[in-house]
Amino acid sequence: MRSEDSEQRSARIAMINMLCDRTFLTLLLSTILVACMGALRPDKTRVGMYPKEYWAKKIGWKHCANVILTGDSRTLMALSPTKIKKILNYDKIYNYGFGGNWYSVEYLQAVEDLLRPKEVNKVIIMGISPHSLTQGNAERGNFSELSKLSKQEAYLDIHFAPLVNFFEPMSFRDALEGLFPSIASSHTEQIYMPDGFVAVHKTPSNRRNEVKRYRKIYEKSQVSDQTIDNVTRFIKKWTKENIKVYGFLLPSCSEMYELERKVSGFNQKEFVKLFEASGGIWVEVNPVRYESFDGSHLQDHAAMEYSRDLAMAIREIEENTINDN
Amino acid sequence: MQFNSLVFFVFAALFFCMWPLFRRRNNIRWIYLVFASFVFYGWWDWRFLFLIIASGLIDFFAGLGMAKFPDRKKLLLILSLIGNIGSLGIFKYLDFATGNITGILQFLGFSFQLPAANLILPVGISFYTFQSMSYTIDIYREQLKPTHNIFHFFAYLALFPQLVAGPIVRARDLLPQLKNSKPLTPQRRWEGLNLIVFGFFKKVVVADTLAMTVNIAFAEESPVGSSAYWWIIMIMFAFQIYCDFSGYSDIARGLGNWMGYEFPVNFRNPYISSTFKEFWQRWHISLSTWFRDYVYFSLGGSKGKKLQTHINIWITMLISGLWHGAAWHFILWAVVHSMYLSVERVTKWPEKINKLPAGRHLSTLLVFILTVIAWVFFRAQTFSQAIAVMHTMFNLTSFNYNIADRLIDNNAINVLWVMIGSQLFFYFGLDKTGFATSTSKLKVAFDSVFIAVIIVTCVFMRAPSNTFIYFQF
Repeated sequence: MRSEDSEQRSARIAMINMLCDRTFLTLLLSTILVACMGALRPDKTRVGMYPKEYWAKKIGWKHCANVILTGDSRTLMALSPTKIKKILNYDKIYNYGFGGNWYSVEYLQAVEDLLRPKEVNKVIIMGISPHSLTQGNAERGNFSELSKLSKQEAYLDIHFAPLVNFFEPMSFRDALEGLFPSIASSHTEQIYMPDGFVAVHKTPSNRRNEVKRYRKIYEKSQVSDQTIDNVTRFIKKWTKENIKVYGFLLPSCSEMYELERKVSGFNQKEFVKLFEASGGIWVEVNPVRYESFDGSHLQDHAAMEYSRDLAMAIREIEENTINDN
Repeated sequence: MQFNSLVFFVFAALFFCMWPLFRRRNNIRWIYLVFASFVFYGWWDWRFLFLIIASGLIDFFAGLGMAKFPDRKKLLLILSLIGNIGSLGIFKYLDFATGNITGILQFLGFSFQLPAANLILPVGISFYTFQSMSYTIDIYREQLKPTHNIFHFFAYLALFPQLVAGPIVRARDLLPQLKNSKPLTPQRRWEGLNLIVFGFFKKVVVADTLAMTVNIAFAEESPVGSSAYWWIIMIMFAFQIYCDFSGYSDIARGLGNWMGYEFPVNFRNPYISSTFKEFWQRWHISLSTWFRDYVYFSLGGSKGKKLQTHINIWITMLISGLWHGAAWHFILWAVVHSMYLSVERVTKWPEKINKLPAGRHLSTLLVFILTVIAWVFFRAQTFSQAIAVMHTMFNLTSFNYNIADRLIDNNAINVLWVMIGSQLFFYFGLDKTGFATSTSKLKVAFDSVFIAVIIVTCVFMRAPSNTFIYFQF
């Protein structure tokens, strides 16, 4: 009895010692601070998927699509599969755009692997921007970075998405803006959709923000014959396999449009000729009449308008083809 | 397994939860340590566990043999060294050697090409091989008695906190510690926490943030950017490599503290050195002292003639360069440092400068600048890239005050300022005065809040994770 008492007492003393221990108290304080900081995160995802969950799932897509929208960040933020689905009678449409992407062989192969092998009516809609035709090194762009994602990381990103998002890095300024949203100079809302589209709304929008940066990019990296060759080679292969391939110029602001014509080395007429000669169908949609938030990417509502217009243009081509036949 | 990975946090949590159950009895403790360390190492590639085991067995039995047959101890030492240096040679230097032989043959007009082995370099091979070698050398020199328990030996050789990137712990320091189990006092727990937290801060906040900017700069074979840009990049790299490596050492020491073991201090603010001799007494101390004790002293140290001393310095430094990597740019880095040490020894320039007003500050600045220059050879991927970067750094016609002629990440700049500030803090001895050394309740509370803030910083301001640089060695 007495020994039990003394055991209980020593356990209590050990517990009290631990609770008074500096190391324990410091760890407790840091846990509270971490919880507070995490709760202050300004970009808490309320709609759509968590960003890391979105990317981990997207890079893992295989044999799941009948229709694929390809390209770089302009595709990513401009084409809503849900909107396109409403106009075209397509099923299983996915936006396969990636930030900083270019038409490398690896990317084009991944696009092909995304199509369901047993599907008869397969379509690839290729968003073309001068940047997507430059030639980066194998490491460049979101697509190649994500391709290196380990299985373990992808598993965590997908199955523990809220937790991963909670611990995502942010600055003290971010936390402060989370606490006092009025001090933030701009607000960006990004919604990551399961179909691959990212709807972005930025206020205030700075329409020409990216123009200067793109000038620098094109000073270093011009549209490459090698990349155009990758594109045309794959179009030939796909059309031989009865995959319908559409192409269109991705939207931007008029300043960007002018800049890209002047400094990127992109010759649209020649490119369209090659595109069509390879078996692709070129779709014309005015690329500069939609509202962009930075000169390069569309605001969410403009993306909806653009998706609708592109879908209608494709529908028109398809109807004409049926009529011709 | 990397310290900055989720899997390590799970591993460490499990290890320390079970540690109190195993730490009291010698054999059980050693078996637990060996098991945990093998899991830690095998997580990367379990096949290479056989290499550690083979290398360890050679040295364990060589040690026993030296004690039993003292007249054959030289032979046994040679066998042990062949085993260790042999495995290091095969995995680390074979392709370098064959590449150079092919180059020489081609230069002489032969069209012969030796095939490359393309072997995977086992993580931390240079660290555990050196640790293992020190065991047999110390027994040979009669500075250590061999252990008869194989688990005791492997607990020393493979102890996970310092297994893959040091600090290199001598058998004579660690084997006796492993025999006892020190109680984990609140003070030891606090010191361990401090070391671990600062170690992580150095790695995930400082080194990884700087790495992003430095890696972009070195991604292109021919350097782009002005002279000023490249000076900033190289200063960033100087702090990146320091924080990356000393961060690892700090975490290892902190974990050791929590286990009840003391590992040697590996870095003592090397960038505040005012001579190169002092720099090497502050940088990667466990390796520098290893080379000093086992190579430099074996060659005769500074006992012989002046020229012989210089030759000994150069040989030791060149081996140290090769230890870091099988490439000519590492050797060149060692050559530059050998030159610095020799010139310093001959001219005694720091002493002369120190006599000037503010002379110590000037010599410290000079040593830092020269160290930064030497890092170019260490960081560059090829010899030609190193030369091109040097050319840009010293091409003052391209000096552009607008350093952002290429993009430098704002976070990297902020981190750089923090590091410069912290170095000045230690340089002016502010860590030894007033509030910093106070034991008042206010200071205790301040320290706790400070560490908590550092933990929050590590969680939320960490940069994308990178492998520890010294893993490749």
